[in-house]
Formats: sequence, C-alpha cells, structure tokens
Amino acid sequence: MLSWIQKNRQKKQMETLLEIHYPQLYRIAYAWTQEEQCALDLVQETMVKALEKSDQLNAINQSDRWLTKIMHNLFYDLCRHHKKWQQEDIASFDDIAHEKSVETLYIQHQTIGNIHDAIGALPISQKEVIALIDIEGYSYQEAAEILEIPIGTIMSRLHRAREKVRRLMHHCEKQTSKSQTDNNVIQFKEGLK
Amino acid sequence: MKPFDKKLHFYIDDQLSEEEKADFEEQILQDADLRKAACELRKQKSDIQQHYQAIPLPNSPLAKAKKVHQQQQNIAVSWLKKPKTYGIAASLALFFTFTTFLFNTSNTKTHTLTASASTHKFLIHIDSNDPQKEKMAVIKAESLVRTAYEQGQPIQVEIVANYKGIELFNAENLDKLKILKTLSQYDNVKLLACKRAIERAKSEGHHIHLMAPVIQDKAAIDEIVSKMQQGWQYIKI
Repeated sequence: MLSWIQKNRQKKQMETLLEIHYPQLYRIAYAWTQEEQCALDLVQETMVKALEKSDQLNAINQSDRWLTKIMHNLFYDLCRHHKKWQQEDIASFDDIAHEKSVETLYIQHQTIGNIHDAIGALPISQKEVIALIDIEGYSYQEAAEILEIPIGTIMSRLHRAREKVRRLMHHCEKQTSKSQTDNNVIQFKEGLK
Repeated sequence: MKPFDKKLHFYIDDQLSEEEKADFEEQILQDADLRKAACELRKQKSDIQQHYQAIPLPNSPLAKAKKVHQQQQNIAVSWLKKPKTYGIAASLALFFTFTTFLFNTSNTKTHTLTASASTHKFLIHIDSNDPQKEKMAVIKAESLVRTAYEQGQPIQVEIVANYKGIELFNAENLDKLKILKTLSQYDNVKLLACKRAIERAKSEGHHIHLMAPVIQDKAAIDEIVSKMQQGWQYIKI
C-alpha cells in the first residue's frame, strides 16, 4: 500500500516536472530535429520514458538534465533510423566551398535564412552542443554529463559550431544586403528613366 | 584557432574564475581586436537565445504521453498476469506429457490427438519501418507457421503493425508483398494495420496503399491487449 502511494506520488511529481520543463525540452528538440512535428514526437517519447523511469530520478534539482539526457538518448536512437538526420561531419564552410558545385552552394546560401537554418546546417554532434550551451545556457560540465562525452570534446565542438554559424550568418547577411543594394540600384535607374 | 579564442569562449560562457575573468577583461580593454571578437561572440550567443525563446510553443504532448504510458502499463500488467497462466499451463503440459507417455506405449493414436488439441497463438507486433525489423517480422511469422505445419501442430499468427510499422503492409513494396501474400494464403495468418496509425498518416498527407488482406478497422493497442488477455504469446520486433 505504501509503495503504491509512493509510486503515485512520484508519478504526479514527474508529471509536474514534465509540464515545467516542456518549453525547454521543446526548444532543444526543435534545434536538434529542425522540424516542429519531429520535435513534438521526440518530446512526447521523452515524456513517456520519463514517466516509465520516474522512480530513477534521484535529485529533483537535476531533473532538467535528467530529462535532456533521456531525450538525447532517444534522439540518437531516432538518428540511427532516419536518413535525414544521419549527417556526415563537415569540416568547415571553406571546405564546402572547395568541394561543392556553384549551384549547390547557391542553394545552400539561399536556404540559410536565419539562425535556425544555420544551426540546422551543422553536424548532429555540434548541433547538440550548441543547443545545450547557447540556447539553454548549460555549463560545459553539465553539457558533458548530459551528452556523456569529455568536457574537452564539448569545448572543441562548441567552438567549431559557433565558427560555422558565424560564417553562415555573415554570408547570409552579405547576400541580403547585396540584394537590397541591387534593388536600390534598379529603383534608382528606373527613377532616372 | 587564435591563442585567445579558447579563453574568449570561456569568458562568454561564464566559465572563468573571478580572478581569470578580471585578467581577461584587462586584456580586452587593451586589445581592440579581442574586444570586437568578444562583442561579436556575445551578440551571436544572445541572437541564438532570443531566436529560440521566440519560437511559438505548440501544446504540450504530456496528455498523449500519459495515455501512451498508461497503455504500456496495461500491456505490462497483462504480462505480469502471465506467469500464473504459464505455471498452470506448464503443470498441465507436464501432466499431459506424462499421461501421453503412458498411453503412447499402448496406443500411438492417442498421442496425435493430444498434441493437436492445443493451438499455438502468436501475436507479432511491429512499430517501426526499419527494413531489418520488417524483414524480421515476416521471417518470424513464416518460420512459426512453417515449423507448426511440419510438426502437425495447429497455429494462429497475427502480425499487428502500428506507428511507422504500417509501412510493412504497403502494397507498393513488391518484395514484401510477395512474402506477405504467401503468408496471407494461410487462413490462420492475420495481418492488421492500426487504424489510428493509418488516420495519422493520412492527416499528415501520407497515403499508404495497403495490401488487400490487411485488416484496417482496429486500433493496434486494443487488438494487442485483447489478444494477450486471451492468452496469445506476444512477440515485439
């Protein structure tokens, strides 16, 4: 009887925690999967798993990390089955420029319209780190515990990810300002006519 | 990476001690390039944070998660009930084996009748469109039926697919179709695609043309629970 009461209490507590941490879980899932529906599915699966394992949560003040860790494991399982998430680690934006055709590069530049797209262009390993540290503000140590990788790996992935996002966004801004200048020139010429 | 790059990231992410932070701020004041890099990096981090803080938040899937969890628990409960059933079945099997052994010495016909009296019932559940799992589900069903036929044992097999597993019954997949058609020729093999999964796929604009013998009017979870309550053996692929 006592165990039943305890289990029920744990379940209720977990439901409250899941409600509290939902926005955070969704933001991370959205950055990782890049799509609303996939992110929702991932969060839902995380919630199911968390309800299942609610007796394994030791410290409530670490519940966000515990949940994110569950989500990370599920995300990796999903990645194994979904081709669209199986990305190869691309070295840097400069390397892409040397390897890809002009058409491919043009399409890539056009599709990177905002920060979300730029993060989406990163390999999964870097996307995971940047989402935890830059979006949710986890420390290097906390991110290392969630992703179960050494802290040095966290740092190198984060630096590479930030550098790529910076270059992609810089290029995107240049393209936007160039097209705006072109439009202004056209309007000016038409005005002269 | 420039020598100050690593420290710059540490500074932005608040990973330096107070002393290190003060030293680095001193450096920043004296180095214009470093100052510019720090500002850019801080802006980038803040842009990322703001971008994701502003994304619209869909309704929480907690209610759905609770429902799924409850359904899983129901299945687990019916599994927990099984040991009792297995215990009784094992005792009966032992009893029958013993009596059959006694009868067998004088009358071989009795043995055949006793063996054919119990029907083996298996429910194979698949919820993934992973080709390996699909293949495994079909192979498992085929081997169960074949083995039972070879041994002259009556058998009933049902493949239940839900979620992405309904792809298994996609009529456009010729390889699978061939095997599944062979399977469906047996009157003791039933194929069922979850009606909720079909509806969901349709609502997402993904119309799956299911092969003819597939039953589509039941929810997988109801079928699994019902069959398990009737004592079917559950095999999850």
